[in-house]
Amino acid sequence: MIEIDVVKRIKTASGEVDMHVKVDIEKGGFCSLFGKSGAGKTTIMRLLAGLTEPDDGVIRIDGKTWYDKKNKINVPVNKRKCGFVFQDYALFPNMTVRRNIEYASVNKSNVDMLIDMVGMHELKDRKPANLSGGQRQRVALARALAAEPAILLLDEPFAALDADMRDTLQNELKIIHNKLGVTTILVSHDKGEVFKLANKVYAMDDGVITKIGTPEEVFTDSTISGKFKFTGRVLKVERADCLYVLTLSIGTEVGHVVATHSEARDISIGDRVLVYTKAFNPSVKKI
Amino acid sequence: MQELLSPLILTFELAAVTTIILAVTAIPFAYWLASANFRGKSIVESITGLPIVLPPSVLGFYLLVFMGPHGALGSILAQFNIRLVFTFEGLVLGSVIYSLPFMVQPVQAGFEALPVSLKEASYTLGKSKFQTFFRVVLPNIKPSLITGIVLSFAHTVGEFGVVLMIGGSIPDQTRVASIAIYDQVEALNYSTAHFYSAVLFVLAFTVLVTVNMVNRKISGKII
Amino acid sequence: MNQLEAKVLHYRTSGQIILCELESFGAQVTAVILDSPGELEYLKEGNALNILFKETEVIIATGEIGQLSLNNRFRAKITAMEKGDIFTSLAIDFGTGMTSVITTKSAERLGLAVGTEVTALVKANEIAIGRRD
Repeated sequence: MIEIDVVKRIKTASGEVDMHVKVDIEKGGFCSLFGKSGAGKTTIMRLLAGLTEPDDGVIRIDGKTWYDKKNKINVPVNKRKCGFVFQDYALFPNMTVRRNIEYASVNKSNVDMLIDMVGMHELKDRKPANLSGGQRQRVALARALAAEPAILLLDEPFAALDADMRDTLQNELKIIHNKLGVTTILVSHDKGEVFKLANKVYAMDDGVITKIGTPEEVFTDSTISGKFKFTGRVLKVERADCLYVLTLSIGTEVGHVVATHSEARDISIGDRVLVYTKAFNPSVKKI
Repeated sequence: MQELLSPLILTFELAAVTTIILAVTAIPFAYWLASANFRGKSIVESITGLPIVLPPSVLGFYLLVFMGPHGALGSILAQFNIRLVFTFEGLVLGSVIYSLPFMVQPVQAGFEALPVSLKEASYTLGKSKFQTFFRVVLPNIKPSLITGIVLSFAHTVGEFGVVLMIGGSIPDQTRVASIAIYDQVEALNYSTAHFYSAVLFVLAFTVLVTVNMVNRKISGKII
Repeated sequence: MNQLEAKVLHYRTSGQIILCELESFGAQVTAVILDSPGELEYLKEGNALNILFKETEVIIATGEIGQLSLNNRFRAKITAMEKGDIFTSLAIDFGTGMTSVITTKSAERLGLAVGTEVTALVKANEIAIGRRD
């Protein structure tokens, strides 16, 4: 259980704000801090990792106090065991893939397992400069895990990658999280990503947490009436005559929807979409 | 022969000792300057950079006064029977001060250019400041370190004014190559002056070419 | 999805079904929806909201219309046409724009062209409402 109850003055798009954050994150879960850039998401992660000091408050992990302003407790960064995956990956340029992971590892015998897990076996002797964005991302994740962190903090880890690579790595991350069960916090401004990975979302705006809940609760569009609404993921967009046919996965089923040019224009493969229809339209048949 | 080579040997001894002392003291100092943020930082940086703009004879003169038997430092050391003026040790102290900015400035720039996230990543991986400094920070500013070391060395080899002021021209003690060249020219002994000058010229050129090549190779590997 | 601004004139409910009478750019619009009025905080008399309906559900008629059950009729003019093998997409204007997708066969039978005056018809149960942001 992670308990954060802190105050920190931050600069946001609308000037300086005293950000008051009070969140409880359950152990082993995957939660996301969602919001525009400058909303204070990264600051919360830095406060948790000890890279930034709060102005006031308390941070406790599994009953251990990491920060307590009143009792002057401030556990240093290197004693907190927070695996931090930085936006720029922050791989050490002087070390190969293997050495980067080895440097971090608590248990040297896990190094090869981690390299294999992120599919970097072939490239383990390369330096970061000779890796693609997606490969660097994988190494950064493996390196963070090598330190056997109590919490894994991911700061927009997929922001710099193209859509296909993002999709692949999101799936890998999901698998790794399910396997290792490390409490994970993901900073993101991508609804699709949050939907896919997180089971709890903290939506933030200007240093304030505005909504807490499951991705469905936080994001599902309540601005359109109707009792027949589902969220789905776009698998395919095909042109058909002067219309488009979208192939969607909804739950475990796959379906097709006809869309006009103006609807299909902003939709690309992998996007999360709201599928809705008037409750009058569907026909039912007993099976 | 021994007499002929003595100024050259002395020059390289002085440059080597100066560079080693600077490497040990000025690199941590540069790291502190790069990471600290305090009032008066620009004043500290200006004092460090003074030897670049000050005429060497001015610096040499003040050092002479300061280290002389009636000077602030000289009078204290005199009680322990230590003399700095007109000695090799005095030259070392003068050279360290004179070459300080040539070590501090490139190294400080190197530290400052290093992304903060590298250090932060190392800390979050459970590493101490000490481990981070030696295994992450230093290896990633190699070009700056090489530049600092070579510049300090070369600059010490080339100094004249400060050495003349505080060291004079005592054979085997303080008569370094640059002084010897001056002495030989004054004595109209051009061939010996040529010899010293040519050695320094070739050495300086070789060192610069090597450094440039090494740095190009390293920076090609580092993003 | 066509999305037009409309004003709520009044509404009544029967069980979970709501009948809304609205006005959009001078046209009377009736929408039947399945929802609880309490959950739709924007459904208030005099309030502006969006009406939404799919392009393929917009029927096009020309000339005099006889007796028809359809309530929602928009007198409009064709401003653009995109003809495909099977479907034709019509951009029409009745004070604001909307799109209708009908078969190319029908478009040809009606002799539609840019500038043709038409009546666009939408069944009340095809219209959804949504908050205007």
